[in-house]
Amino acid sequence: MTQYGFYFDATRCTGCHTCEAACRDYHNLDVGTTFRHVYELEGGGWTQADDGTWTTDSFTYYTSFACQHCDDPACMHVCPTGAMHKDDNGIVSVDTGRCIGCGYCHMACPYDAPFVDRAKGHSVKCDGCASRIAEGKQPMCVEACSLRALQFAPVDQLPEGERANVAPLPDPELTKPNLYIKNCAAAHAVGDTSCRVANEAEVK
Amino acid sequence: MREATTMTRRTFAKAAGLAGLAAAGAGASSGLFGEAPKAFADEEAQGDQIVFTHCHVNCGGACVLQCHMKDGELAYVESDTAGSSEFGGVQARACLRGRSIRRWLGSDERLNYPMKRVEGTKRGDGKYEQISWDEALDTIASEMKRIRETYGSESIFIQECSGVEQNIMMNNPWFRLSNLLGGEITRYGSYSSASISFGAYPYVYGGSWGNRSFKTLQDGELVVMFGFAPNDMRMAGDGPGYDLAVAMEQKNVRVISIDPRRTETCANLGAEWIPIVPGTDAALVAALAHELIANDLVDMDFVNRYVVGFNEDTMPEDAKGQNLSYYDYVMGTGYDKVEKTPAWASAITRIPAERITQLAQEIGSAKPCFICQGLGMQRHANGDNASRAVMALALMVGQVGRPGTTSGGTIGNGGIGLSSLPTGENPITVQIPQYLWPEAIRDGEKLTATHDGIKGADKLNVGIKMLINYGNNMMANQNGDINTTTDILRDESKCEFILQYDVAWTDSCNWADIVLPDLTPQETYSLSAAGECNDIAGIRFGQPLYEPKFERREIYEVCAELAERLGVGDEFTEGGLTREDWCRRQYDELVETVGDAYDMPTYDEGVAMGAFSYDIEPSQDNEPFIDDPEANPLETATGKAQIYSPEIAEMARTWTLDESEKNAITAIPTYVPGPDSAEDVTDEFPFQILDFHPKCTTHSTYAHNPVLQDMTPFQAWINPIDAERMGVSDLDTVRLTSAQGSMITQAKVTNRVMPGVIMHAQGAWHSAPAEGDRTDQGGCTNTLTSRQRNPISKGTGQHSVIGTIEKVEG
Amino acid sequence: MGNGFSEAALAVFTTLAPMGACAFIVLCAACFKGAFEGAAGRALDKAAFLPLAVVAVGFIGAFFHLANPLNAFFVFMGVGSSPLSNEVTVGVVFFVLAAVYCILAVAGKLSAGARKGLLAAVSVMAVAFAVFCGLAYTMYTIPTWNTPASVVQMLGYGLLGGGVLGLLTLALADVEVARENAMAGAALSIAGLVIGVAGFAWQVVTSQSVSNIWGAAVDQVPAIWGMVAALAVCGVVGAAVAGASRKKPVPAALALAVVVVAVGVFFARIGFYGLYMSVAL
Repeated sequence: MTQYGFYFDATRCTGCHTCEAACRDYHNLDVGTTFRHVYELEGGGWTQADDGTWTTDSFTYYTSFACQHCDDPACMHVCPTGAMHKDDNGIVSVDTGRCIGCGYCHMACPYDAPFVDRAKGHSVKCDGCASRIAEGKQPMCVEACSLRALQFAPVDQLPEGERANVAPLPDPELTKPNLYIKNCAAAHAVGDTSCRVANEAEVK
Repeated sequence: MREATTMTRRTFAKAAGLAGLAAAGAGASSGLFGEAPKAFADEEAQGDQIVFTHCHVNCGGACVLQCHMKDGELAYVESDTAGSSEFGGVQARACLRGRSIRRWLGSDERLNYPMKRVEGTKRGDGKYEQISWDEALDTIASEMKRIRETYGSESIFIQECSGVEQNIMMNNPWFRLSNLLGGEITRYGSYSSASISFGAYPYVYGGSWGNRSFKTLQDGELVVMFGFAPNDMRMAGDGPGYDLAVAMEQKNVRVISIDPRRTETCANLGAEWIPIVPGTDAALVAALAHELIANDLVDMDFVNRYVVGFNEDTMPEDAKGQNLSYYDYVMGTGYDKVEKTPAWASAITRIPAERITQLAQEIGSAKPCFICQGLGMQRHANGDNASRAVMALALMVGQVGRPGTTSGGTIGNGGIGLSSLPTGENPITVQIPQYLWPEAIRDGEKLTATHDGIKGADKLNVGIKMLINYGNNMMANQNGDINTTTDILRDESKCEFILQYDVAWTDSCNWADIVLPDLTPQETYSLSAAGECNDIAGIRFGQPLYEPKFERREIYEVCAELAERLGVGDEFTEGGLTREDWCRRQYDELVETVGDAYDMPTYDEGVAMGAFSYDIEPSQDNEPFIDDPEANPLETATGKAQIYSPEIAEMARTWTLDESEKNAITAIPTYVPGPDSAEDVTDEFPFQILDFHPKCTTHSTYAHNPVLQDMTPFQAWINPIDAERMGVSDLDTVRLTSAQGSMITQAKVTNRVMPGVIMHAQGAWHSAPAEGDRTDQGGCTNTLTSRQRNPISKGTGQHSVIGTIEKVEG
Repeated sequence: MGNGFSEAALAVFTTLAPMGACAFIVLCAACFKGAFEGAAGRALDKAAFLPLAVVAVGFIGAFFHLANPLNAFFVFMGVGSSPLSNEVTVGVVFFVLAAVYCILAVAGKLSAGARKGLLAAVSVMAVAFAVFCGLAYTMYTIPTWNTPASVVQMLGYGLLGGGVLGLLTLALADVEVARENAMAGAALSIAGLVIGVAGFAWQVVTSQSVSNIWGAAVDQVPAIWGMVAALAVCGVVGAAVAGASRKKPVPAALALAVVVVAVGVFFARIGFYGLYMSVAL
């Protein structure tokens, strides 16, 4: 089986949300829902010297991710119907004719990828723009990025990167995500507790 | 003929072309460009049609919108897929704003019918009733006639049109119409750049000069940016933010950003951030100059040859012997007799003295060094001087006019210059500074040349009596001090007729007498050069996505009908030209002008392609002035680059300033804190509050697109130290208050803003009653800003604001 | 994150279904004590539909949780791998068994031995169902739930509610039978009270050490200990009414006790869902 995955060059990302906007538009997602997340992390602090001047060791970095199309997806494990499945490209997809919309995939996924669209009556999630891939195109998010920070391809064709190793993502050993990251200098690794999400209003 | 570097005609045709041709109804001809591309065939099979148009706002870009239509409606947007998708290649990829346009076009906020203010209500009461187009146009025509006859053409003012800036029409039909009827008073300067354009460039370089884009950056060079956030506001795939990111990665360019806010360039991209107290850049530059002088890092050969006013030797003859040079100012022997040491500047800028010294070393030893500024700095009090100071810094180290540099001003760009709709001759030559239109309504003939910067006359003869707003949100959103502005508008004896013509019901509509519903440029024929800030040569061709909905009508047709009513119909349309005809005509003229410089498609080919772009190779040449300053003098008083400006020295003698004793006109770019500076904070107003250009809007355009608000909401950024002191937590509902007004918003507690400063995204739509508690529930920062104008340019100094924050229930 | 009320439908299901199921344990105990042999037998057989109906209401609650119940049949595809499939399967097996019992019993088709055997099997399945209701939440990516406490508390809630509801069922059929079997109901509810409160408290304690980028799990539900206390108080009320039935069962009091216990368990479930916290986002 071919396994597709994302590559994220964090050194290029400016946190602009265009990947997310393009995805929301193409998939016609309701306002308030998204397949792709752009997290802004920050940490450090400020020090004022006796002369009143300020110095800071603070840092800010973004990370952009959608479904990781994991080797060992938590959503598939808990799915009672088998609706959540991996297709021939290793893309984790929802068989909408089978899904009951129980929401367990949403609960189980540590990447906040699938969620239940009650109006549609099933779970929805990033499918790697499978129909575009079939046409030889790139997923919408990849094609949208001005900075070319995203790639999507069979994982053996992606540039080398660390496997989803950036806070606030979970330990990649849990689900073996197919996200490979070229980290930027400001980034902190998985498990780091010195940074916090700085854009809660945008991602929750 | 220049070869296309991003694409050949053949490739652009293959990439994007035939789908658009089919959509335009021109009929797909498989013979025209060869075989139909596969993607198109597939789309066709799925029943998709592609209509090309473009984003049209005032961000500096003009991104390609490749619109996929299903059943006559916009299904989703792709952007520029022609050209190279490799990092470094050029594609006018739209940012989140353009990508989200579908929801905006279908927004509930859209204007659908002509409306008039209900009789018996006052402006600002917000009571309107639907009327017919006939009634609306009859009223406008008769008011235009009456006011022109009563007060003269100088009493009519057509406001700027930021919302449709990137578009061949802009608000030109209004000028074209008005000029056929006797003309109108015009403005100089813009909201964005009045101080640099009219308070700095003319006096330093005799005009905009030496500006180069980031494409000129050399391997390993240093970029120093003052208040510039290209990765925040110019996110297009062919824009400056992209150019900078490419240079940082591919040329190992190092970037230092001097800014009160950590911009996006200083996040993942890894630029160094030097936080600075807003409005104090000229003080930093003075101390940098001190260190350059102390460490012998001033390029004296350059200064002696090209620069006036650095030291006594380079002063103009009539200004010598009075210690008026910048050197004397810096070393404590002139002006205020204070030595501008790093310690002096650190107390003002809050930048550690050793960092200032080090920065001077870095700037002084980097060759080349790209020193540039954004436009935020010059929108503070005395932004004229701040802007000139950064140019002076570039001059002292000789880093202007050559490859790898810009002017110390903004960055530059090239492109194919497309002319907008011709406006004809305006017999009225009187001009007001853009920022002072409310004062021109309120104070009329009291506005003078030497006090208010009136050009073309010593004073105004009459105030503005008719205000035409098209494609802007100026009255109640984007102008400094909304409460004062709308108070002026409320008085119908001052401005007697106000028109608002826009795509959506902004609060500005509530101050108009007649409101007209516009089509967006995506809903009609459009044509635009590649973004006005982008170093790219290209054209975007826009076709209407669908038939006009409701009773929305586009500006050219509407003005043509008014012209008909006012007896100049034929002259206006030149015998019946339509909007589409003008697009074709202006483009055909452009093709003539461009000649062999670029391989230009015909108009119809262009429409089929949707867009085309040529990358621009950075010039390897010096500016002519640098190669031979005697043969190619600058258009300044001295012919040289001026740190000391004789023109401003004359102004200082003859102009009067009364708005604030803290303002000053100085011939050298001294640091003048100006009113409501960091020095003025009090227990009541302990913060500097300023706004910035966020990702989710361009000015106020798109601000009510719910999907944009969802992804990047409007928030007040506050440092954790300040937040704790003020009892504010992340995501709290807060009230920001200045002497001018009060607004409600949400707090974002973040290290990205320095202590003592609150920064709020600009552009949120004002929402407050005209009387009583005027607290703005919409989060429009101009509720807080002031009417402060800068002393030389009379440009926007509105962003020097002190105020406070408090948590409120919400 | 955080808002347990968003899972109210699931809370209804996990409150009512195990409670109804475990009520059959009281019937079973009564059966082994010969309660069905007298005149009360037919009334008891009719009354047995009450706990069955409670289970059914619980399942209907679960259905409302689903975005597309029409595909529910596919739930059995995940048996073995999906804890939710396991739960539903065990629940359905229980329900079928219990329904068969009720129908055969009311039709008079059960011999004494068959009745005992069937009720014993139903009781075992009831306990299994409660356990599997808890197991459904032990997902390895959700550390606040991935604990035996999730299972223990569900078992406790089943026994607590089942004890009281079982007694009510008996009392509705025959007050005297209820009095004679009150000990079983009371014992069941007291055991359930202890196990349920201990299980819930255990979960809250283990959640103290769970946090992710958003903060600590327990901070999501500031009133979590209040919910434990509420459960305890409601449980004590239920167990006390059950205990008092040893002297004089009052159907109305038992009905009220059932409601009180259901409310207590429901809020405990809301607290449980509120403690949801993923390993990461």
